[in-house]
Amino acid sequence: VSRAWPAPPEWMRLEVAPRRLRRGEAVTVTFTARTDELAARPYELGLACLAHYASTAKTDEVGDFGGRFRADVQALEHAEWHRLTDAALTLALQVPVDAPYSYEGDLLSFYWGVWVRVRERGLRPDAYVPLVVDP
Amino acid sequence: VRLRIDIDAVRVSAGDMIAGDLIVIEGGPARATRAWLELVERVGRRTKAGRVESETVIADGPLAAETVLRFALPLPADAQPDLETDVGMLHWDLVIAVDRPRRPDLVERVTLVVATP
Repeated sequence: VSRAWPAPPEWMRLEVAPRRLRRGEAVTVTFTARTDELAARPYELGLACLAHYASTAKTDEVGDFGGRFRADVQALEHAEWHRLTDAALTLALQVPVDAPYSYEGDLLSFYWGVWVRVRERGLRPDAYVPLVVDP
Repeated sequence: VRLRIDIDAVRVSAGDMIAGDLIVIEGGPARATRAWLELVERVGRRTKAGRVESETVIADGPLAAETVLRFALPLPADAQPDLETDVGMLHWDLVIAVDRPRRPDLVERVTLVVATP
C-alpha cells in the first residue's frame, strides 16, 4: 500500500528501515538536515497512519444521488510526533499492536508512513516515506 | 425458502477451514445455492465487499425442506484479521445466497471473528 507523496527537499535527508513490518515492531528513522533551513520553520517528524474513508454529504441539489453524494475524508488514525531541532536525529518508532494495518479498499484505506511536516500544513507533509504494516 | 446456518466455529484464524451445515427449514424453487467468504468494509451504515474468496456452489436446483447441505470454505492464509477503528471496520462474513427464479436472491450472512495471527 503506497501513495504518491513528495520527496524530501534537497536540504533534508530521511532514511527509514525496515519499510515493511508488523504491528508491534519498530522502524528506525535517521534524519539529517541543514540547520539554517530547519530553524526557519517548526518542523516535526512522525510515524503516522492516515485513514482515507468514504462519508456522505448532503446537498441542496437534486441529482443522480437524490441530494446526497459521496465525500471522501482523510484523517490521521495514529500519529506520534517529535519536534525537529537538531541537524541529526535517530529515532526508533513503534507501531502499536492495536493500530490499523495497511489496507487499501474502496470505502476504507489505511496508509502508514514516516512524515516530516510543519504542523500548520496538516496532512501535507514536506517529506514522506511510505511503509507497509502487516497485521 | 427459509434457511438456518450452523457453523462449526465463528472464532477462526487465517488459513482455517470455515465449515458448517446449511439446513433448509422451508424449501422452494431455486436455481443454485452458493457460498463464499467476504471481507466487508464498513463505514457508518455503508458496506462494501473488499475481497471475495472461496466461492462455491453447494446445491444445484430446488431446495427441499429438511435438506442438510455441508459446506467447507478455506479462509485465505493472508486473510486480514478483524479491525475496528474510529472511522470504520473490516470483518469477514460467510455469505450464503440462493438464486431464486423471478425473485431476488435470498442472502444470509454470518460474521466471523478472525483473530490477529
